[in-house]
Amino acid sequence: MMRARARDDEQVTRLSFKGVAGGRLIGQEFLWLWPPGKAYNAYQTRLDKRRRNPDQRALPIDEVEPTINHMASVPGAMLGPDDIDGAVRVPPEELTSSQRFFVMCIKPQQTLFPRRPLSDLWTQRVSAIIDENQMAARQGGKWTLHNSVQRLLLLRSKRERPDEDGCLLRRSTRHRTATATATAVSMVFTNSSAAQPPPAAPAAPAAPAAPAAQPQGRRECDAEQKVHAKIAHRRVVNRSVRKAVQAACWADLPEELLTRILCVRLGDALASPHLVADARDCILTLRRVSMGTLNLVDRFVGAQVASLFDATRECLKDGRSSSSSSSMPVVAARARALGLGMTDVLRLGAHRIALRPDDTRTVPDWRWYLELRREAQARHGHATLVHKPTHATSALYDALMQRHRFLEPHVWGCRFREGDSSSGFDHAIADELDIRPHMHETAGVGG
Amino acid sequence: MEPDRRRTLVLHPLTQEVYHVPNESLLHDSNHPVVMPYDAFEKMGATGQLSGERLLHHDRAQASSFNVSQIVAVRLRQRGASSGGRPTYAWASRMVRRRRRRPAARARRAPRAARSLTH
Repeated sequence: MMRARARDDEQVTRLSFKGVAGGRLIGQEFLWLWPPGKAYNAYQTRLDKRRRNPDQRALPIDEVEPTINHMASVPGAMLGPDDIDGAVRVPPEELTSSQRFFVMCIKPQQTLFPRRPLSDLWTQRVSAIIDENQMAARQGGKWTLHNSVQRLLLLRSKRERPDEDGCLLRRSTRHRTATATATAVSMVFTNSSAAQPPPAAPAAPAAPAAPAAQPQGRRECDAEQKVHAKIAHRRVVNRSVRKAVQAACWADLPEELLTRILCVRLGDALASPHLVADARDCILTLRRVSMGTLNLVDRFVGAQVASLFDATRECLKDGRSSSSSSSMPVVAARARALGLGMTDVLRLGAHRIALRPDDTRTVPDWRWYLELRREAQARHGHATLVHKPTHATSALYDALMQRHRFLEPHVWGCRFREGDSSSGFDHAIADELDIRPHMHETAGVGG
Repeated sequence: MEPDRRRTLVLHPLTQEVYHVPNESLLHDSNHPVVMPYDAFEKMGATGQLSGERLLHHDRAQASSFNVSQIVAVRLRQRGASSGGRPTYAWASRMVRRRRRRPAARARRAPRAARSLTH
């Protein structure tokens, strides 16, 4: 029974992967609209080319000038179906499986101006090169464009590649339980990064950290070294006692509460937008603590991955996940949050393990999930991670305007009337900076 | 309803809903798609960078010239009197995702530690 079920699952997985994801050319039915400005620019460029080369014959598309005045129905977004004449919504149930898969592969676009990915480091490189060139120019060197290009190419060849976690499954040998417990406790309770290394032994204040390496002839320092060694040893003992107390507190927590804490930490690690190493380290560290935690981690991660796998298959089949009552965009967003592409999700069912030792139900193997996630990360690098602004745009704008008003009140101050709330002018700041009299004088209002 | 494989679809940029575009709204559709490699498609799809001009730009990087036959004119909905009653158009392109290469042999194998747990 169990073997037959596993065989069926495997067959469905294989059919899904080959039939939907890998077998055909897909996506030809979909149209991708150009932004109006870029379309108009391309049209004008083509007109210029034809003007310069009269021999070039006109094509039918040259008679259709793309409009530049059309405002998108969703401000700030691209042109969409709401802007197309006669476009009618199609329910997901009426799409084919390939079309559903194609749609789920695509991340919704939030804005016309997407944030730069973390892998995009050209501003730093150009800034560094300009700084170097300016320094060289000040010191009497030559600053030429050729030199800059050469340096750019050199830096490009030496650019760091994304982290390759080749040791993903090789580091699964168990270490001492106490170390794992201490690391897990610090990981869970301090909510620090899972990729943190285990705490290193405290540095001794002086050389006696390695007394065996000392030359034997220096007997006059022996007493001092012993004192330092005792101090270092006492620190280690204190730290170990503190960790043991923390571990005891952890172990004394009610099981339900402890399960929730661990599951929240695991969920954070799985949905971490950073590297796969975060999820890997969290899983491996928690699995080393005890058998109970190991079972908990296996069941939690397995259930998460199995839920995603089943929801994806249901979406591809029916256009909607009946078990989790999620739509296609929600399931696709879950897959992206777990660091997987849709093809990777369909491959999840290739290797399964039992949900519990005495249970016939199987879930996708969490090691296989980490392997697929590592592959996806190697393919994309940091392309899916973007720079996040540290301040709100409105705050940056306010700060910039305040700076302008303070430095050039004759330019910026007279443009805003007092009491005009729509102008965004902060009168309290103007009072604080004591620029209001100067503004009034400049504007001829009289203060 | 039986799905129609030949109809033209367009994706809503925010909600990911699929819309059908009638043939009357399309001009000069030579059904010539841009062929995208799987990795490029997956990367652009995962980062939300799929748009018509980016597809053509990617194709231009592969080939030497700009292929005009890959452009379709789409008639836009009239709003107000800004167009003076004349139909307005936008440009669009079609795209086909190329078949993915087979996964590497190492990736197809079961993970080492998982074999002992697999039933």
